[in-house]
Amino acid sequence: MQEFLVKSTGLGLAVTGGNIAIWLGLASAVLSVIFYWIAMLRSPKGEAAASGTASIKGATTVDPRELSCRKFQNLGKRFFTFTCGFCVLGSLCLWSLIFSQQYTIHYVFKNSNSSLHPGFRFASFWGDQQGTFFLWGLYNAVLGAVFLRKCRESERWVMPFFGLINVSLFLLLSLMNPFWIDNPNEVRAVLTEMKAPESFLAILPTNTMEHLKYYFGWATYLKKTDGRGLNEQLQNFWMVIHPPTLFLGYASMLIPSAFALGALMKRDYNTWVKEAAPWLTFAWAVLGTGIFLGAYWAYETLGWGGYWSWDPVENSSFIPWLVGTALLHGLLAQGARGNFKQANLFLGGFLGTTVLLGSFLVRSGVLDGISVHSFASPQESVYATLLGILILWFTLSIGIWTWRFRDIQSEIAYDTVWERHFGFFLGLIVLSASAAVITFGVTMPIWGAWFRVGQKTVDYSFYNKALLPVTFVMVLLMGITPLMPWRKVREDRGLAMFAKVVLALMGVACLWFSGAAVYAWQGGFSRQNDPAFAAFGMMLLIAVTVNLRQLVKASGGGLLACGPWLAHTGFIIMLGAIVVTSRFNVTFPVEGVAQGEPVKIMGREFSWAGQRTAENSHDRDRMLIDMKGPDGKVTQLAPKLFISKQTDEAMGWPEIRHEWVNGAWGDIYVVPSGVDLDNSAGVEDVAKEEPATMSVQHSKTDPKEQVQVTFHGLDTSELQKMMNGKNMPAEPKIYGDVSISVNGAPVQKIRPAILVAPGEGERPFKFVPQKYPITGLNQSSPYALEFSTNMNPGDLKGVFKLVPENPVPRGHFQVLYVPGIQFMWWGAYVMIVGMFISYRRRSLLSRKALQVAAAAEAVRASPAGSKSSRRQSPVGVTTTL
Amino acid sequence: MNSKAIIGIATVLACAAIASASLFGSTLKSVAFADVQRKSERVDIYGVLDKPSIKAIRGATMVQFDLIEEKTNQRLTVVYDNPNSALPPNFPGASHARAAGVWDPSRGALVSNFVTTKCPSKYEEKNMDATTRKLVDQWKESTGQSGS
Repeated sequence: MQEFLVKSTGLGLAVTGGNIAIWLGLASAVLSVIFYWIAMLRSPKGEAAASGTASIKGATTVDPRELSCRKFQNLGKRFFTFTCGFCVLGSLCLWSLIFSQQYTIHYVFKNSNSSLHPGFRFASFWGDQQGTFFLWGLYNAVLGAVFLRKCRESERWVMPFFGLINVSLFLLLSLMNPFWIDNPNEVRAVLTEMKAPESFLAILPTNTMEHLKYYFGWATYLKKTDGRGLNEQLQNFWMVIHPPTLFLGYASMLIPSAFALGALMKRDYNTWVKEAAPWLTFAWAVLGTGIFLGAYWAYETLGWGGYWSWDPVENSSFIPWLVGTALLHGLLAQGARGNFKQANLFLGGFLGTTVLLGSFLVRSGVLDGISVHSFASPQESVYATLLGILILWFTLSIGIWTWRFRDIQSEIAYDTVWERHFGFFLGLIVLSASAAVITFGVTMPIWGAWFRVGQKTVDYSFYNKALLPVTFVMVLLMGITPLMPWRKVREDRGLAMFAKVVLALMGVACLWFSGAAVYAWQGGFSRQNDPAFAAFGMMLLIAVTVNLRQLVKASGGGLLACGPWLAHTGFIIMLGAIVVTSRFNVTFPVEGVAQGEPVKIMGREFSWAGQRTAENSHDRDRMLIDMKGPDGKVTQLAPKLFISKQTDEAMGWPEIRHEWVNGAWGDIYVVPSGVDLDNSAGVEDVAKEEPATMSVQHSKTDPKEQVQVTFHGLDTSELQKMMNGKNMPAEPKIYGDVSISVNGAPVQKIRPAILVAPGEGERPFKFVPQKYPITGLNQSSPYALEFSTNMNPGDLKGVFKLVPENPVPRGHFQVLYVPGIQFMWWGAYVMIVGMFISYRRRSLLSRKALQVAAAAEAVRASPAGSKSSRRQSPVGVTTTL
Repeated sequence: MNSKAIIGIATVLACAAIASASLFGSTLKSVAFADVQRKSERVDIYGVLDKPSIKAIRGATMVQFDLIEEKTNQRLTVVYDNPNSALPPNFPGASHARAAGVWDPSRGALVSNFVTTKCPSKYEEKNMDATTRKLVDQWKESTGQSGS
């Protein structure tokens, strides 16, 4: 009996520790936010705030109000530290339960099992919503610690907003507790129904104290020896690192957003730019990397040869990235000239809203049924919490920005249209517009429901149609802006020959695109898009040339100066690859080929070579496909085709080969669809008098033929005789009353039989379908009909199967050709490198700028004159970004 | 009004116009199963994939299957027919599917050339009851009570 029960001190400690961590984490997060808000609201605003900290450092006496603020700020910080500690504790408890295989815990059971590779077991921590909340909390802890160390002066302005995220995360964790153990009442109901022994029922709690012991992990439980496990498609290296990267991007995007809100509260609209720029660049680079990893995983695993499907989950990560890109360019402009202050503060606050909007859309269940990603609809309290934090952040960002709008004094955005700031201005609008278009598309089902016009969705063609012209303008700006002088008044030189040529070509591309867009419109954006793609390609070529030239120029200033141009170049290459892969990818379904039978595709011969069973517990069964190249060399492909341990259904993973095909470099992408071992055809659940059709084709050289059957009823007379024990036949049979028509020929009446044979064990009989030869087919093998039935007089159904006399196993697979896909990945690598170099540069510049500012403040605040201090301050450091 | 505002507003209006124009032919109305037969335009349905109903008519490029509407438990037959693109091999493992297509009265099915399946990243939870039942079965087997 004991082998069916489990009681463990480790379980008790981890579950108790985890529960305590969640509840105390929530309490300390709330207290931290309250104290930070008090400190912020009591602090002086405007110029007094900007110079306040330095003055305090230099002054001998401190303003009592400031002292009070510091007291609350310190309390906020202390409780924030507690929150981080509780998050770490809770995460460790969950990891310990996963690694000690405590399947009593629902979360562990659902996301882990004993055969998981340790790396995937580690990753199963974030296999579901609760784990991702913990992961986000862990990132908040690390980012918060770095922030508190580096940006002390901004602490009381930023942390009141940043801390709100921790409150919502812990609130969600308390509602969706990952340390949950099965409801004992439900377990009792099952045990009672199953007539389980009393000793099983006796372990279930009956009073309050026993319930407490039960839910805190100290009781005795039914022993679950294994869990359901992480889904097989998630057992992939890219999927292991994709979610943590993405969540790091989300978590860090909220810091520049909190900076913007803090700046609005502080009424200091300049200083935040220097501090927030490196955070934003980091978040932008990490989120971009996370999005790329997800796309790569989809391409490598899902078997449709694509990498992006405009799904709400994908869009939810892309929207903040686009807004972050717009803000980054806005901050660059503001750092250089002091313009775009209102726009930057708006975008900064709104950036957080987009991150939280994404969380709401994919986690609340509001798009359940729309997204191909599945997050089971949680309870209403979770929905309300996600919506609540979204509305709160949105209201704060819009409300404070509106409140301060007239107070923000910005420099003129640009002097003339021929200077970079004008390009930045348009870039901000175009990037924001792209984000708005995607947001509109992804939230359309919600608008439809709210405005009672019915739930409507947009398919992927909406995004392609809407974003192609917008992206065209974006590429135009990426090509033209680097040619512009920073300020017309300063650099009023004539245009160089290179710029003149580029402008002329861009003019041609624009005219061409305008005409091509009208032409594409007339074709419904589906049949005659090629001229528009060609114009887009021309603009991409021009833009990449300009940016490569800038890259070469910038390389003279060292690697750190190359970041932006690398990012631009990589992005343009990616766009080019997107156009090429979308336009020129082709699919060749290969159906029903016999083993060794060659099929010629794109100058290669593909033949099914059988199957191979998994070589070890981490391997999977594979389908073997030989690919004979144009040079006669045979390569054996072995894509995985296996039965899922979780779902008992067939799964196929592609195998990808990089090849030159017809002079173009691309991927041969082979996806196994299945293996038909007996080469039969069948129909199930055929109701009486409802014709059903089966198609047969024994080999590729045989014609496809149709056999229609109609089920009229059963003749059970021999079975009745057997039951009565009178005139019992030696081999009693049930006969089907069936009409059959082969290839539309006149209907014949047939009586396919089912043999009633002696059964085994509890079953007195077994029913064995007999073969009924079918005539009239022109196949290379004779076929016979097998008939069976559900024997349910109230709802009688027939099952028909056409089986060949000489079965030949058949393989089914698809061959896709995805040209230029490598440019997609190479472009992404270049862009990611560029983004991280940009981050490094922003970080260094920001540090220097802050050092200069601090030194200047110290000099200004010093009562003993400033001449000597001024001489010691860093010289030659630019304070612009 | 300064030039910045004019250019900004013009750009925003242009983007809005493009987005609005892009809606034509790209919107799908999500309808209840009961309403599918009354619609002549392309519609979008979503439901639980009834795995035993999957029948390959022409490999994976023409596949018939049933979807079950969760709210009403109503069943609808879908014929996926797209000679250029097979259903993904993981289709049979999906928990739910979304199909966009037009109702064909002669086939009594929604004929669709675009089917998306719910990403199997988070399958619907397998009922924990099953685990408990399995455990009790194991105990019964070990004590020789399996037939009782």
